[in-house]
Amino acid sequence: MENTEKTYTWMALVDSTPRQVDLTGNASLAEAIAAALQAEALVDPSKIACSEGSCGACCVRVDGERLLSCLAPAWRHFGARIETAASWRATDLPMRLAQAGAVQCGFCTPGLVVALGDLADHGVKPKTEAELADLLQAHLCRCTGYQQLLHAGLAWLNEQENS
Amino acid sequence: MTIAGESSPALRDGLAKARGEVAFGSELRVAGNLFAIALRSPFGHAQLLDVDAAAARCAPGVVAVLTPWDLSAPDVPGDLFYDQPLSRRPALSAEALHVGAPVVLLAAETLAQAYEALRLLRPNWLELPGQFSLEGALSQGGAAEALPFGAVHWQQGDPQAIFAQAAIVREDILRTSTVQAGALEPYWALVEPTAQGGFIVHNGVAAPFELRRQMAEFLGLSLQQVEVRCPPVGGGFGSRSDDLAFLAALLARHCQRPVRMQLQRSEGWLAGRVRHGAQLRVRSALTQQGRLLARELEVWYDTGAFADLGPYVVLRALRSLALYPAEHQRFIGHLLRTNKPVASATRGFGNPQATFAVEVHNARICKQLGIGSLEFRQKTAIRAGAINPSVGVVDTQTGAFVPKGARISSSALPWCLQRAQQGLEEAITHLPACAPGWLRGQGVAAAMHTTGKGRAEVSTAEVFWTPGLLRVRSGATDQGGTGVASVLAQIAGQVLGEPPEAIVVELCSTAAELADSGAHASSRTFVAGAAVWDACQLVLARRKAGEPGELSARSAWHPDGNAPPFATCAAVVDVEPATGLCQVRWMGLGVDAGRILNPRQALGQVLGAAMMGLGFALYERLDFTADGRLASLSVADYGTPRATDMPPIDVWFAPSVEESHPLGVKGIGEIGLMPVAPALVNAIEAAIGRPLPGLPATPESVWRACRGEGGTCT
Repeated sequence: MENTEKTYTWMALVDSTPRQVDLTGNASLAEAIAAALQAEALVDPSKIACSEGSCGACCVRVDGERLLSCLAPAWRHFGARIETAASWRATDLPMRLAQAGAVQCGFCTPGLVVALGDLADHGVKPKTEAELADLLQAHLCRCTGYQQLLHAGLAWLNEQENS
Repeated sequence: MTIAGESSPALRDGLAKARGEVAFGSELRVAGNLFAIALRSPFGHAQLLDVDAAAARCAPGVVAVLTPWDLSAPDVPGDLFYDQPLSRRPALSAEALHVGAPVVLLAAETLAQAYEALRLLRPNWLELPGQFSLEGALSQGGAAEALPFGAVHWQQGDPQAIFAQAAIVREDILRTSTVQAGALEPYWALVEPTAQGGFIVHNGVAAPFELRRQMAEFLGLSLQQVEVRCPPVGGGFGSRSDDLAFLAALLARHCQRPVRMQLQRSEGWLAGRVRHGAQLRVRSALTQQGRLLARELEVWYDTGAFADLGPYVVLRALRSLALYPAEHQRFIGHLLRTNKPVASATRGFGNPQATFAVEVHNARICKQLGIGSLEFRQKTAIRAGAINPSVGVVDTQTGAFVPKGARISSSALPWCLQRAQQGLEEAITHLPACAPGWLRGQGVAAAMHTTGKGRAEVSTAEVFWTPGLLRVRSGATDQGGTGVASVLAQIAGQVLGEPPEAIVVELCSTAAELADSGAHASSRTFVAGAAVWDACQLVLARRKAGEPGELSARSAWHPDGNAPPFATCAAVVDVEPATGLCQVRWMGLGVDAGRILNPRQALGQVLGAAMMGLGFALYERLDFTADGRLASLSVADYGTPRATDMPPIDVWFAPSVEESHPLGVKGIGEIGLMPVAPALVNAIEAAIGRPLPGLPATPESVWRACRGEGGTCT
């Protein structure tokens, strides 16, 4: 049957670039940010894993607030300033994680980069790995066992200058 | 030449992944691809009598609706058990044998349209009686056996006679739960028809050449007409052997368009592959001094609706028996069919369950006889040079297992045990005392695994060298960040003296015809690494001979044997008897994986495996209702460990070299998982002084054990 559905055009400033996405289907208004980002991007730094807000893989920053983009409706954040892991490409955080062995399959990593980057922007300097573990409790990683991640994240956060 | 240990910072893809520059398979689209979904059975066992698909066929964007009556879908060939097609299964059938079984396929222009059309299907179901639990299957006796020959079995000596007269005979029965690999990336497949009448299959499988063989047979094509490509995978752990590629292929052939099929996470619980839930019985005869005279291990593994890789999985339970040689031994491995999701390869491949049972049994023996746990293992465990009876073949007519007489080529297990003991003593000294009302226990366990499946292992590599440019092409796949490409680059670079930035590693699709048996059984460095090493040696020889121009070589490597890696785990756990809460305070793992080529990656493999072992031990369980449905479909409820669940973990690599291998290596990917659950449960039992019935050791289970409920023996 012919495709005759209406289209909902959504717009956001994604990693400082204006992005326009056409969402189709009756449910298009309910699309989450993550789904909208994936609709047209070839490589989407926010990963969709659990689709229920339990794993943190889709974590992005929306207008300065960390959000799970698999649950946040796109329309509610129309025109928002969205930061994915791509916004931290210019920092040394990705290399520090890779060098520490904190990246295996890497599916959870972009979400963790956003979380760590956001903590750094807020001047958070955990004193122990256990304290950082508490701060990253929203994120699941099935590969690394977390130790190398916590080790690298703790060192990196404590090296950041307060902004 | 020896490859030096090196944690190369030039991780092949880790940096790109952290920068968010890597597209995984679940993000892969090709121009004009359709989106496919399946109507799946909501029942554990049911017959689809008919389905009214008229409205769905007319829905916007719908291109195809395929019911079991619309096509004569061939069977999915499945892996062979030796030469037997024991895992052959229908791709699409009106009889749903488990919850989540696909019965109708649907393809539409967009995913949203596919879901909307799915809601318009009107299935008419007839619910059927079924076998929805392992307990139920056990009560059926032989009727539930999934294999035509019944149980896999092996015997040495006369254990029955010894049991009848030994001073000490102890038997324990333990359970483990069905668990999920829990890879973060959803399961997916994308199949596109080619202009030449063939198909390109994009799928995150561990063994692309095996998928190609099955897909060619499935579609009635030649091997050359099917190409399997594996994009980056968001976690595999052996579990990506679902049937999505076959379902997508049916639609792609029907529509003559590319078709993408992806499971929502909640569907993944049902249609993906799981680790076999099990009941295990271990019986030992010993002298009063703790010398092991006879041992019997009988296991019942719940394979769900289809055998799949189950026959091999159940056979791997034999490793845990082989770890402690006795003159008289017996193994009986049952694979039971239930109307539950299909169990298959999952990290550890049948060994975590059996090792759990044997090692908990060992700890109980030690307690009963008043001997030290480490001392018992040091005295009893298999040594280098001894025959490893768990390597052999199964007679597929009778189920009799016949050992090949392979010898243990290297073992640093004594070192690992010693190191774990030392680590435990240090940890106990440094840990703060446990809180009031809590009890502290210590536990240890050991394990032996395999490197490669021990038959038909192969990997092929091509190496091209000019000064300053070293190109490595391999048929190996990376099942989610195991670091295959990094290690291959490291090996090639060291043999030919090129720095990391001069090396390009390509993990090729099947079209390159670089045959590779697959990323399973902790084997790619062992097999693919050796192939690259061998090809580089050939290039090196030609370079030394002064040959001009670009030098290239190819090697197809068949490893000799399946060098078993070993590991030990020691753990300290605090338990609050009033609530059953457990807190793991510390774990230490001693690991003998031969020579460690890349210490950081090896450490990552062990830490990740230890986390999976901890989840298996304490939290993870797929709960089924009495009628075969999954009680919870949420990731939140499942119990994957989070960062806050992890104790400090020490890992020690034994100074070990595997003499049978040119690089001295053994497998690293799974061995770290095996001893964790028994070490934790041994610690809990030591703390509360009572036996647990099995896994997971949830607070409820521990609380009940504290009250004297649920233990199968004391």
